Amino acid sequence: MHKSIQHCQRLAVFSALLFSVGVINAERLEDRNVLSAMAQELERSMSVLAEQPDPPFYISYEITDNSRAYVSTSFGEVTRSSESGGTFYDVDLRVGNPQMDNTHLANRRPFPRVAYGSLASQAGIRNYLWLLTDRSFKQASEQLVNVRTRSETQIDTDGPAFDLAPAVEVAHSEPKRSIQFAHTQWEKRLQRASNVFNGHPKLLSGNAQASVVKNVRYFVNSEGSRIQSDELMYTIVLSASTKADDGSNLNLSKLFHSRKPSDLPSNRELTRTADELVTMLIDLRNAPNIEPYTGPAILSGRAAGVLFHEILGHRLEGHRLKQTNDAQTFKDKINQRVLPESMSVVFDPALEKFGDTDLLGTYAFDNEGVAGQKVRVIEDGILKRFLLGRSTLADEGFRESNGHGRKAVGLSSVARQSNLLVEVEDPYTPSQLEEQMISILKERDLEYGLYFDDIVGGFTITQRSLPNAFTVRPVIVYKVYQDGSRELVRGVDLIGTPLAVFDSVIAAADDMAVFNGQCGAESGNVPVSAISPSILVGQVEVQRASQSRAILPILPPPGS
Amino acid sequence: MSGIRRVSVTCVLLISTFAAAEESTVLLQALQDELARSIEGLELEDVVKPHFIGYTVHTDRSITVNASKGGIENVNNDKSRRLEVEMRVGSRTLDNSNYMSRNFRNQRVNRTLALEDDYGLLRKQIWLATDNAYKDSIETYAAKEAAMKNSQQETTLDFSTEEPNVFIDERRSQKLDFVDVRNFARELSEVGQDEAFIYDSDVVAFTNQHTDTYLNSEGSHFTRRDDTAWIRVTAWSQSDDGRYVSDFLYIVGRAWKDIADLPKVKREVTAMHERLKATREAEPLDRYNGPVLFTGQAAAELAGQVLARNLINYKKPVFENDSVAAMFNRAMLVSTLKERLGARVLPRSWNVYDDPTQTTYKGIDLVGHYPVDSDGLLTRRVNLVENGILKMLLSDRNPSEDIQNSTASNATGAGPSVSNLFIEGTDGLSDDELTQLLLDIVEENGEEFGVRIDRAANPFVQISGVPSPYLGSQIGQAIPAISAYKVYPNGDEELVRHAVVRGNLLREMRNLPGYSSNISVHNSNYMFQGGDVSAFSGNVPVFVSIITPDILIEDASLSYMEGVVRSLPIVPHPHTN
Repeated sequence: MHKSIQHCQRLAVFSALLFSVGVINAERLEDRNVLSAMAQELERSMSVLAEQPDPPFYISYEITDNSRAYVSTSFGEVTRSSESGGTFYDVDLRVGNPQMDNTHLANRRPFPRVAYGSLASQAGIRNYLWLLTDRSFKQASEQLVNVRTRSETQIDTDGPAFDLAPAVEVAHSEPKRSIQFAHTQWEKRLQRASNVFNGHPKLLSGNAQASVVKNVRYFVNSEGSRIQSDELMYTIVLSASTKADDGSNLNLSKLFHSRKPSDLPSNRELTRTADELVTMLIDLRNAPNIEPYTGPAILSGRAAGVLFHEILGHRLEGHRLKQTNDAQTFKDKINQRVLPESMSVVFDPALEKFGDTDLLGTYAFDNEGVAGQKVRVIEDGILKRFLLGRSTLADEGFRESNGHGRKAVGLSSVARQSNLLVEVEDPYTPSQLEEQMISILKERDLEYGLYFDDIVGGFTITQRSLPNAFTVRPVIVYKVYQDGSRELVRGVDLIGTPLAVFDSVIAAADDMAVFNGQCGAESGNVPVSAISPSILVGQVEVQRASQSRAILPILPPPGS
Repeated sequence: MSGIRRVSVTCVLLISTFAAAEESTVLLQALQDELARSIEGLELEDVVKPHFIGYTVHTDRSITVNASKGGIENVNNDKSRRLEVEMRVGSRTLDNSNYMSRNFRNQRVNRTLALEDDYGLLRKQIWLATDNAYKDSIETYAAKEAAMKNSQQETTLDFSTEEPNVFIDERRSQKLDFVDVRNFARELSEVGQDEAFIYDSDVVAFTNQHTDTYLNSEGSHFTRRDDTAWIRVTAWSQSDDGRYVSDFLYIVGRAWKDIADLPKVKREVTAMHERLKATREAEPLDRYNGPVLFTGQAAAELAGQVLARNLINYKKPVFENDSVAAMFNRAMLVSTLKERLGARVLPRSWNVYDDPTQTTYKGIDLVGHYPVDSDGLLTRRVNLVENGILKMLLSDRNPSEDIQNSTASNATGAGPSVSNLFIEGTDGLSDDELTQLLLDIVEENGEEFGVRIDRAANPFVQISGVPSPYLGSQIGQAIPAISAYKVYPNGDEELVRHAVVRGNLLREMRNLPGYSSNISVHNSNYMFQGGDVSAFSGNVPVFVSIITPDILIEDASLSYMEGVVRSLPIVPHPHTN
């Protein structure tokens, strides 16, 4: 009986949601007309506002046209099916001069200011921009008064740094990508994948989700740049959770990203991945909690990628080196060794793929109209460069943006990471790396070392007022004993301070792996990637992870 | 009452007999089975047991479209199903409800459910949500009990006793068409797009097919269609002195097709723009004290913002300690009429009642209609004020000292609220007589003019980019006017802007000099607070119909609206070039 009801209702659901994301903004202008309206209003604003006592020396407009579709299933059934989209308007207006403008020494727009608009007519586009420009100009003028006052009362350590470094005029247009997302097909695929989680009564959740996000971005500025970019990303997330007998909540997930739906995993791969998640979760339920530990550890490529992102990447973001409340860990370490000689670190926003994996931190131009450039921040272990947006540093060689000024909609750009790539000369094989760790264990007469196989993310603190530490959240960790045997353990976070960890990096393997994720910081969430091999660290510290103490469900599962 | 079937029962086992064709028997069976198992077996040693479990499954199919300047700004097209668990542990005398601690949060456990009817999966999801709710509830119960012991706080009974009901709503939802709604919003947003005096305008079209499926451990069960639709159009500008001026159109209904008459709505938007233009150019009102005539929509806002919120039974929570009480007491709305039960609060010739059973009034659809409330109680007319004397306040199942039983007024599950509020008087005047009465008072007071307000702000309508007209005022203590006129004894009228009515308007309503015999209907949204604070989930808008005469207040204070003043745009509007 249930089957027939299910079938009938499913038909009803499908007919209601046979949508196409394309109909969300079907009446929008052609790209060139959008850019032309933006440019006209920008020129008019610059011209009229030039008569003001402190006229703007720079204006940029950015419009982001976002479309998304989403399907979620749980244990083989659809739980959500939606489509959404919006068009957001942003204005960056500067008064003063490039060395000291209204953003100088100030926290810029800490909260997002989201302004919606449509793209149906040039008159409409100009209307939105007119209002936003007026508001931005008045706000900037107020800020400039504060900046000038503050510059009289505070020591300015910025020297000849730019608040807005010059950039070249660019014209860039990307081909249109269309969304291919049939809800009905996705619902079926994901139902099949999440159906794998059925039959495992210990699982408390078992989900398969898919989404597609498309952002068409239009950018014009008073330097003459005209940019239209088109980003499209499909994501599948498989996730499941259970609860251990000690109350710990155990969650595992696997994400797949691709710019083309055809590059996403097949149904068979999804099913296999879901099976693997189940197996690992069951193993984790039975795994013991580990005590706080210090000693050697191997971080898998994904775990090491996150580690580099947290402890290195955030500390190389140029704007932090101008903030007096930031610890500025690497400010005076240019041309000094920070990693083993065999290791280099590169940020490359132009890199679209690594192996078969599409990278999230890819873009042609940043949110300040500057081409994303490949930046070799560490060469042969020596710190060489920082990531810079148009807010640059005083030192020679760091006074130009390298195209890493990034932000989420409604926020102000700061220097952010793109695709982080750790390069290693003469790497070990993974088994050699493990052998090396075992020899350290024997040397130090330690019972075991740790192998961090997978992580969910991490965070770091860069301010001076707090301990300058990082936390990486592992989900799959093994004890590796002197005899090479492994034991799955759980319940720890990897913690530490950046310089101590870098000093402890001993070697790396040749097994590059990709971590794709969203990085949250003061300019909002931006997509990033970290690609790294496994690394051996001589000394890490782990602490107990925060853990639920809630008991297991009181009643047994229904039907058991 | 066509299309709706009422059945009263005493046994939960009868439920399936009354299932309507569209009702999900699989969902209901899963709810029933998990409910039976939980009420029987959900307990920990030496810990209180559930004395009541209520499940509500909210199924939504919603479309939201924001449009402006003939294009789409933002859309959302969604379908979801969500379980809400009301878990009460302890007893009716003392349970976990209505407790407010420093870490206050809505304690109703919500969980996403499968859209499709998979019995095994639904059972699993209901099981986990119930388990979470029970664990939360026993912790809250212990904290509440301790707080009461420590502070000697008195509390009344925590949960009223009511007869169980079964109700199956046989009304059918209209088919929703995303493209239809989108195109409507887009086309509507073309109106006035070339007008340079309109700085910005926005159309929001919303429609939601909502079904509640409810089951509780006392044997109540219902399914209820609670479809809603609204169209909101806002526009704003600045007057020459830098003050923001804004206006809105807010059309509220129960079905998209009932409100989406594009030519008609376009005309109304055009009229709204004309009002905005006139208001922008009008003179601001100086300080004024004297008679004010509220007509049409403004009269409904007066009733909705000042009277309606005071017709709710607010149950005082148990606070964790004095500092929590001090922190939250100020933020909580309290009915100032509660202490006046049995006393005269309105004109002797007035009767006021709330009646969610009514679907229309003189052919006009009422949006406050619902056949059964969110506690499963069949709705009925509730006489609130008889001959000016306050007889009753609207209540849910959270009793207070004065009101022990529910009036079936828990419309949305967020506590008692007004539904269709009828204000009826026996001494109404014609429009001319009422205007003359206004002028008579003006003359008697030796004033130069009186004031008439035709349109007023609604706290639910926020306009993006414009400071709230309620800035610096408490809702219920101030009514910002949108269209206000000076009315001179010679019959001349002069539009004024930025007037806000302040003062104890509720007290003024006790002795009205007059009101109209004409009654008008206004459908809108209001927000209420009451009932169990533990279930409070923010400001949940409630669809309300107010059926009211025009109202003449003898002595109101009007002043210039506080708020942000910005210099006019430096660059002229692009359309002027």
